[in-house]
Amino acid sequence: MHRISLLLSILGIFILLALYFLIPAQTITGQITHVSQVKKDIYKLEMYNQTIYFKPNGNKNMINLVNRTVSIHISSSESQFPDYIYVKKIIYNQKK
Amino acid sequence: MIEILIAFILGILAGTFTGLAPGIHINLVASFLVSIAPKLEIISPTSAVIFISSMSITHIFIDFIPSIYLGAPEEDSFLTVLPGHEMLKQGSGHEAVIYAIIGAFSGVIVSILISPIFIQIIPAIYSLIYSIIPYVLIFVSFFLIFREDSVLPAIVGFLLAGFLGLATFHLPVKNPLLPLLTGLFGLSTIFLSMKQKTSMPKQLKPRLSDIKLDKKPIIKALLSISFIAPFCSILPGIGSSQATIIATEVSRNERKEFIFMQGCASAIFMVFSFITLYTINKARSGSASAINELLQSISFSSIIVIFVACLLASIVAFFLALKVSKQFSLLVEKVNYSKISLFICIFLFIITIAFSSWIGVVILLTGTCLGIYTSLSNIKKSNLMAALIVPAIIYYLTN
Repeated sequence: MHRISLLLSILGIFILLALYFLIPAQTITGQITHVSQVKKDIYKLEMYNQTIYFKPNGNKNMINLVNRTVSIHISSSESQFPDYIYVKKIIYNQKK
Repeated sequence: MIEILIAFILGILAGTFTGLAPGIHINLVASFLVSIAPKLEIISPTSAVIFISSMSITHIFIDFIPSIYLGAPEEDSFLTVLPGHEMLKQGSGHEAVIYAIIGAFSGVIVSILISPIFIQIIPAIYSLIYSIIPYVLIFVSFFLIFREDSVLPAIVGFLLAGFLGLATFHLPVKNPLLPLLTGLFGLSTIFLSMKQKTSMPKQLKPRLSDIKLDKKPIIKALLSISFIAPFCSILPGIGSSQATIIATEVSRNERKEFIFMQGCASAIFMVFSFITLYTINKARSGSASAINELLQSISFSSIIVIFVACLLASIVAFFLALKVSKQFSLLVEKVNYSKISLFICIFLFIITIAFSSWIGVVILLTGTCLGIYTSLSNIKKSNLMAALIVPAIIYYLTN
């Protein structure tokens, strides 16, 4: 029982890790109305129906996103850290 | 005035319901109220605020009952499952509830008494605490592991729980804490009770006046949690359970004081979530977030209204919890406990599927296996707090 429970825990964690790569992320689509930098590396993207705090990968000029329609792929669950959510990928649907 | 009274009573009733029903959280009711409030113009914002405050505080008190009697916890009370269950098996389930609710009542009083100081200092100390908290959590992690007699199983349990927490928070699962904590602390405890064919002894039903608190350790526990919980409550990602673990390492408590401290921490966190909303405009609980949406900005008079509602609700909820707990102690005597346990297992399974989908079930089963592993390895279940501590450390170190 002791060893079986350990093995099943490890197996469960591997399944969850596999799911992280296999499950398509949730997507929010909309036009960005306002962008502001709230602190180092953290940007606030305001859309008509949603506000997202996020940390971009690399050096991106986030201000250019205003008025663009984007699809934001969210990888995390309803995080226990309410300050911002993890963003997997931003897809630019329309040119400015 | 009648509207305010009705809001207060409805808040108490809603908090009793959410506290007793495993898986139904106050955030669900609060967000429902926020969504319907604009359509129902007869509800004034003050009444809505009173409803949310009284519901939140009542939930804290009542929530200990299913945790202790049924092993079905929520995020505010899961640490009470194990010591509470041990006391239940000795016929002292009602006494465990009394310790928890005395703790919660002390937490409300302490929070209101120290609030004038914290309202002044929170904006100044916020960034300072933010920078030191990951190192405090790393220190606590090492402490949790190396105080065990068998260090290797403790390291394995801690790391696996850490990985489980990280995986859970990075997956698109709704209500991630429900399957995670239910598996690690609830279902694993119930499963082992069922396997060991635990028979529930006759439950003692002491009156409040029969409870003799050992003053010195209780004061020590109260002082340590009153100092640590307010600072922790300012920060995202740190819950009342992490605060209790830190405070336990400071004051080295026995079982009863631990339950008392968890009650106290839960209440302090709830009241302080309203204070942080007022001082730094950060909502640290679903209830505070709902109030923020209803009022847009929170004024000094609003915070006074919230304090009064919390204080009055804590008095009502205290006696309500005593009554309900006595009924539960009669119930566990009369009904076959193995059947109750089986029913609770099935119920938690259904709740997980309903609120967290099938990914939640994988998390629930993995957490249950890990909970069983730590129990059979004779290491403390507090090592499984790594499921919350490790993601919090990574969050603070990378932001």
